[in-house]
Amino acid sequence: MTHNDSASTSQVTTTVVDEPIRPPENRQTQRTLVRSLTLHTILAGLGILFLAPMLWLFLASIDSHASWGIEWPHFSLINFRHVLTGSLLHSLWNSVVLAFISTTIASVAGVFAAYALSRRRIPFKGPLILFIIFSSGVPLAIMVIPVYEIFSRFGFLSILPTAVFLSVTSLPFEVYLMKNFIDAVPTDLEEAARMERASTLQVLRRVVIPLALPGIAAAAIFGFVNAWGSFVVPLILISPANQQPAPIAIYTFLTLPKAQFGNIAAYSLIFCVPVFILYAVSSRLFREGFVLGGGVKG
Amino acid sequence: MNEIRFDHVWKLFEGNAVVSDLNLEIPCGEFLVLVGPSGCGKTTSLRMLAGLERPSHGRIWIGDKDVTDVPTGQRDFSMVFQSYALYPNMTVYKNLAFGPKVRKEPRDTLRQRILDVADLLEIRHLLDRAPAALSGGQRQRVALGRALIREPEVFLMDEPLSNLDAALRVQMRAELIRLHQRLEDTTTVYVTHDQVEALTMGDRVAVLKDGVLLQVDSANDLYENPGSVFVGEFIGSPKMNIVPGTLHVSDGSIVIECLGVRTDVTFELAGRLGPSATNGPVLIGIRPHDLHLAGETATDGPKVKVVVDICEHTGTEIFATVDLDGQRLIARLPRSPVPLAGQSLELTFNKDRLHLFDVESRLSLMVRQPEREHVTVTTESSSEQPTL
Repeated sequence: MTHNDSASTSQVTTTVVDEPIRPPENRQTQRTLVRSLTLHTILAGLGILFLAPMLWLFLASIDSHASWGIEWPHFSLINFRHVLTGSLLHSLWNSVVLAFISTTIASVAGVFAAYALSRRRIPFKGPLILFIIFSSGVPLAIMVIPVYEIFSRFGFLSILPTAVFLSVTSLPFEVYLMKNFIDAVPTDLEEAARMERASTLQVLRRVVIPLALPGIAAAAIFGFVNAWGSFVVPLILISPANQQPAPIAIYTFLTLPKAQFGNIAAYSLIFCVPVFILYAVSSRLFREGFVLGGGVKG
Repeated sequence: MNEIRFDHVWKLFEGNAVVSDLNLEIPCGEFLVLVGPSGCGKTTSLRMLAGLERPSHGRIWIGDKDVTDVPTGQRDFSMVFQSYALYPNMTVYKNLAFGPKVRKEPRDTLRQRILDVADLLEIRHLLDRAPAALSGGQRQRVALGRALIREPEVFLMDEPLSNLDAALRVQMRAELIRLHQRLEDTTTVYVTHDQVEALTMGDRVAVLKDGVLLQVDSANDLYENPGSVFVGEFIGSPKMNIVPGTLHVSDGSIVIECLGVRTDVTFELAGRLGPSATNGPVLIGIRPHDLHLAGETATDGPKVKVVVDICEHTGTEIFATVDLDGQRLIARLPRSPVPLAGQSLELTFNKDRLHLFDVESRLSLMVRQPEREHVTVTTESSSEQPTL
């Protein structure tokens, strides 16, 4: 089509000099319009299906008489006041502890592992990386029972060992993600730093980590969300009731004789806040993107 | 500072020799250029010297100290990378300050040192900028400044000009030479694939091919006395014509047969023939500058008839690819009258300036010629020597 367009345009310019040059009419405009309308209607329908639960969550959270249906709320903040007390508040704090420890361990260990895998000569490196990718796909459900056996034997059924376990479960994917970002940092930069007598730690801290930061942040966010939203693992591995994180608390709402929809909605919304904040902050980081420009050429 | 010495250095990658038995001495203060086509091992040699690669065999010495296993940072070398390797997350100032900071050098004088180097390279106004905001030439200067701030005893440069455009390259070339002259005791080892760069910059030039060091000489000697067909063809632009010929040596007379003509050898050339030059087939090298229109100079050699194929204008003269019974040759022709494709011409070559090579080993059959008078050389290589 493009070819025809240019052909006819050039014809106009050569034969009829007086008339202004116009692009050829697009006969397909109408058909395109119909197609686009149909497509958008379908997409909008799908969008509503996805948005409805979220709308319910929001409306129910500020409704003092919330039910399972979407309805105009009796506006009140009573639900929030209810859930931000006592053990529910403590569960939120447990989630923060769990996610924070898990993220820190996984990110620090991940950076070192990813750097070594990216740069060092390691025997059987290819199979090792394949194993890491493979293990990032192993379902947690397979591991959680044997781990429960081990944990119960060693008396580990509490929040701290569980945080370590959660960091381990997110580690393979984090290592793989960070490795790809570190791969993209030119080795010239590292060699230049090494020639300046920088130690490996200095190379990491001053050159590699700043340049791979978007990747490291992405991996850390993945780790945080993984631990924050984790349900099965804390349910099985944390036995003290006062160490249970927020997802377990939400679950206990549902086991109550009379479902408190308003409280569930309010608590769930609060539970989402850290993740929203994290994505908002990180999106700025990602927009800035790689700062590799100008460092090396060729 | 002492001289650098490669002592039977080998580098093998997965069993393939990238550098084979490299023996090379670089005296203190010299500007040595390693030149060769890509894959010849020049960068690997430089990286071994820098300590970024470890030789598979052999030792590298600085004076009487074996540095083969000394970590790269301890060698007191500065390197300018082909890619510049500026830290993109730091400003120019921080790039320059990086080395002194990690080496924990005194901070009180650091600022002044950076300003001095920035002034020397005229980048003072760029100190607050990020590398991404700089042009190629400016980045090149910053990379150079980062190397200079260390006040190293040895400068290593890995094709530092290859990412610049032609005009800037000529300008930076001159600046690098000036810089080297200013830093008297600093040894520079410079890697390039560009023979013009090698000839114009190096005190001595080392030609490598397939990991083997073929010849180390001054630019002039390399051009006048190529030790092999490869060096003859690689050094000098356009490249040397290599034609098959025959050498007839009998009592009192030496005759060369090539390009379809027989000619007796001049007294000067005969004096330069080595002992291995005996009867039989040889390869004869004729520089395009020595193959020109008949009647141009008084000392005309034998005449050969050729047909012009393609002409390349270089500004001062024309280099034409000509055809002699199916043999392609490059000849220097005057700008006027402009030679036309298909035109028949009568050319002649300078009998004094033939280079003879062995057919089998492709090594030179000549003995090294002592320094020639400078006059000949300047006319020969005038087109490659840019005005600096």
